[in-house]
Parts: sequence; C-alpha cells; structure tokens
Amino acid sequence: MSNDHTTSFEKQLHIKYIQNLDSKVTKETYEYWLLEHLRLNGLYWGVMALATMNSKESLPEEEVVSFVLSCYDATTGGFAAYPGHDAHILTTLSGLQILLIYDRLNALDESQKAQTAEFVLSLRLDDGSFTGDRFGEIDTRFVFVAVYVLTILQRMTTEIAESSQNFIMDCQNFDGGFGMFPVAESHAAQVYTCVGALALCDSLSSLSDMTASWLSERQVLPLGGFNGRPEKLPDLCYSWWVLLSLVALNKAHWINTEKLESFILGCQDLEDGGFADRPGNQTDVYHTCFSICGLALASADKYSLEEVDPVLCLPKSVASKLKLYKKSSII
Amino acid sequence: MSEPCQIMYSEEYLSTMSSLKQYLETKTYTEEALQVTEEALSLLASHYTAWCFRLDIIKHLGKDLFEELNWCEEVAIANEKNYQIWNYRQRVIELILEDPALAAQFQVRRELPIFQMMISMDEKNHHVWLYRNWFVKRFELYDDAGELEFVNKLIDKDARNNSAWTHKFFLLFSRNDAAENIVAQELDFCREKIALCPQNPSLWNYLLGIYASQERLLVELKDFCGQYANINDEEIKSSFALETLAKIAVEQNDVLLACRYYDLLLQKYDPIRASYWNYLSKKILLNT
Repeated sequence: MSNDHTTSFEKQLHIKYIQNLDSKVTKETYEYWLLEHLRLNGLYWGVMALATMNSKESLPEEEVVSFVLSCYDATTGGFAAYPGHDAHILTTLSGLQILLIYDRLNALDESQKAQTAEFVLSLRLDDGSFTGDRFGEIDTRFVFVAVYVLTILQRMTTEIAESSQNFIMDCQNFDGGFGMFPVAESHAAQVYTCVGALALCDSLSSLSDMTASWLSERQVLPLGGFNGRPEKLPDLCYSWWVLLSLVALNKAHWINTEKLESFILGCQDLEDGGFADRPGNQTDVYHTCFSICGLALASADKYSLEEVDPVLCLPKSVASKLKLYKKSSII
Repeated sequence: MSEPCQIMYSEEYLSTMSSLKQYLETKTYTEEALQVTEEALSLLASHYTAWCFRLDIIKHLGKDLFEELNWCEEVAIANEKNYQIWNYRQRVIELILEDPALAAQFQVRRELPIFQMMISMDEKNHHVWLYRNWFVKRFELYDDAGELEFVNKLIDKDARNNSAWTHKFFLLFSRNDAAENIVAQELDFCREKIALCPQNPSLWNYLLGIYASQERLLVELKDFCGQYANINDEEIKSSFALETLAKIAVEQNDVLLACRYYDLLLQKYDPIRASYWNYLSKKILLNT
C-alpha cells in the first residue's frame, strides 16, 4: 500500500470547469481569444473529457454539432479550427471525433464526406507521408491523423496502409523511439502517433520491444509522471502519450500505474477544477482532457470513468463502432 | 491581468483578427494587409492562417526575402515555444534558393547566429533542433567541422542534452557510411563521457546505437561495462551498464547470467520497471 498522500478525483468540479470554458464570462477574457486557432481542437478535448466522465450531455449537443459544421470548409472539404481559418488535417480529425462522440457523423452528407476524404488524400506525398495543410509541413502526426480520418470515412486502402507503414518505420530512431520525421529526435508524442498509425494500418507487429522499452523509461521518480524525452521534466501530457502507447502495445504493466495516477491527481486544481501540466501551474482544457483520459486508461472503474480506446482516443463504446483496416489474409 | 486591461486586449485582438479576416476573404495582398499579419502574429504567434497569408502577400508584393528572414528572427526570439515560425523560415529560404540571383546572395552561415541565440535560450528547444535537421540535410553539412564542433560544445556543457546526442548521431551515423576512424573516435568519446556521467541514458543510447548501426557485437563492451557494474562486489555505478551486460549475456546465450543481471535491476537498480525485467527473463528462458 502506498504511503503517498492520495488526492481524490473531483469529477463534478471538472465537469463544471469544462462547461465554463465557453461561458459568457470566459468569452470576455483575452486568453479565450488567444486560443481561437485551436478552438475546434479545444472543443474535442472538452467533449472527450466529458464523454470519459460519462457526461457529454453537459454541453448542448445541437450547439456543439452546429459549431463543428461551421468549421467545415466547403472549398477544401477539411475543417478549420474556427470559421474563416485555414482547413488543416488536425482540426479535420477533431471535427470528426466530436461528431462520432455524439453519434452525429451523418450531420455530414455523403458528398461532404467524400470531399473530406479527398482533402486528406490531396495532402499525401510520394514517400507515404502527409502534410498538414497547403503550407506543407511534414510530421508523423499527420500520417496518423490521415489514416485515422480515412478509417472513419471508410476510405483506407492497402496502398495507403503499406506506404504509411513504410514511412513511419523510416522514422524509427537508434533508441527505439520515433521523431517528427526521419532522424528527428525521439519524442513521446510522436511515438504515440507512430504507434497509432501502425495500429490503424494493422502493422503493430513491425515494432520490436525497443519502442515499449523506450516508453517505459519515460517514467520519472519520485513523482511518477512521464517526460517526453530523456532528461526532461515530467509533464502531464506525456503521461497521456506514453500511457496510450504502452496500452496499445499491451505493455502498460511495464510502468508503475499507481505512481502515475498519483502524479496525475496532483495536477488537479482542487478549487476551480481542471488540470495543469504540472502541480500548481495554470490549468487548461488540453491537460484536463488528457489527465482524465489517462486516469480512465489506468483504472476506469476506480474513478467511475468510461473506458478509453488507446489508439483512437475515443470512449470504447464509440470506438467499437468503427471498422478498422485489416491486412488481407489472402497470401 | 486586470479586468479593464483584459477587455482592452480583447478588443485589440478582435479588431486585428477581423481586419485579417477581411483581407483574407478579399484576397487583398497589400502593405496594409502585410502590416495586419504582423500585428496578428505579434498577438498570436501560432496563428498559422496568418503565417500562410503572410507568405502569399510577401510573394505577391515581391518583398525583400532577406529582410523577411530578419523579421522572422525577431519573432522567433520573442516566441521561443512557437514552431510555425521555423516552417515559415524554411519556406522563405526555399523561395530565395529558387531564384538564381537571390540564391547567389544566400550564405548558409547566415543561419548560424539565430541558432546560437535560440539554443542559448533553451539548449533543448525541440523546434530549433528540428529546423537544424532540415538545415543540415538541405545544405549537406553532415561532414562540416563547424557543425560537429557546435554539437560537441553543447555536449561538453551538458552531457544530459538528449537533443545534442541525437543530432550527433544524425550527423555521423544516419547515412550509414561512417568511416572506421570516426567510429573509433566516437567510441572513445563515449567512454570518456560515461566515466564522467555513468548514469546518463542519452549517452548509453548513443553508444548502443553506434553498435547497432555498425552491426558490431556488444561483447566488446564487456570489460568496459564491468567497470560500472561489478556484480561480484555489487558495485553498480550505472543501471545502463548493468542492462548492457545483460544484453551481452543474451548475445552469448548465457541465460543464467542474463537473469542474474535482470534480477539485480528488478530488485534494486531499476525496480520501477520490474515487469519489464521479468518479461526479458521469461523471454530468454523460453528461448532455451
């Protein structure tokens, strides 16, 4: 039995925190507007946190769906972070994830869905990678997001799965981790997106134990949180990326879950709700989502949370409805 | 921030962003629009739509791209955590290099001061290191003495800088053509650094990375590791040395010895990963 002081999980406080993120009062703050370029992503984080707490009805569904649709860019088929912003692959995924959580994917008609798929496919490069938008950045995150969107829209093919797998494996480093592109420094968030991409391409068997081993080394004592790269400080969001990856690889037992939970709970704001990146820092919806999902991944029952799918970052009840690409068994 | 201040900033923000939106929607590529992108970015450096639009205006107006690089540097310094700026910088440099007259004026070493500045602010700044990856690839600086000196200085300053070690591996070993003398030199370098800092994961990852890339057997490191992990006297100065000795034992098919090492790691020297050490023990026992 641990001698650590165990903080309790203040579920109701966090539900209120997320509801308040869009309140009239909040809309008058500078910080609210500073996050405009992340609005749709932020909405996913809020909705996902609520869904994990079995409380998605705490936000008005019609308003949420309506906002998501207002971010749809009819000229490209992608979603922008906010009406008027450029469509981007990341925000496109956030938009679709929100619709899935509310079971409203059909808010998009077939021609819109086809256009969204074309938007993603238009970002594909010859080497199997994807750019994020017309600006042209390459990032392994975008490969994961692309195959994820194509999975949702049932547009995955063997060709895409194979070329994506090849590109991802080219990004594996000498230490077993993965970076943003080939040779880039291994980083926990990129490892997650690479593991996720491989999972969605039915190619997790490409990985040796080295990746899980690298991930297990992220846990930092004495507090038990995870860092994103060797010799850096632990941060809550890495706790999420690392845990997700380890669960997806069936190796979550390679880390000390109790200590991790304790670290996560220590990052709560016990007065106003929400979670920060480190104990005592300013809270935000990003860290709030990932803490709650992290607790759900570690011990859903203990905290009365919904179970979370580690590859799709959706409640399992939603994830189970998606049909994932499977390699053909025909030799 | 006090309430009135907040509202004032909010109004400034909203008015700048609504101007930006108007210029964007009407595809207005003027000096005024350029100014608005600068204002928008000073309020929100991660507003990538503003970056996209700015590049379009710069191209349209035929602005001085070298001046633009200067301006970028100011923004980078003021926004350490921002990553869009580095992608933007790449785009501007590519534009310069597309034009033969401009390309002739571009000097690679022009980029060095901003690197120096950003790295001195944060020696592990991930976005800056990623930009440096692109820079080395783009201008073929793998064998550049200045590049190696740059990374070695950082390692000398802080041997725990994982970004620096990763960059060194990238320079010397990522193209799989390292000469024998370089390999020997780097192995010596590792041995020296390990002596100063035996419990350093980046260092051991680098060392083992060299062995993997050269397809050499780890048994060469047996005596060296023994200096940092003597199980007979139980003098363990490095759990990584212990782990490497276990790898060597596996290489040599000495199952019992490997299990002894795993046991020590499990019990004492890396107990938080107890399940991992158990897993490895079971794995080799199953393979016999």
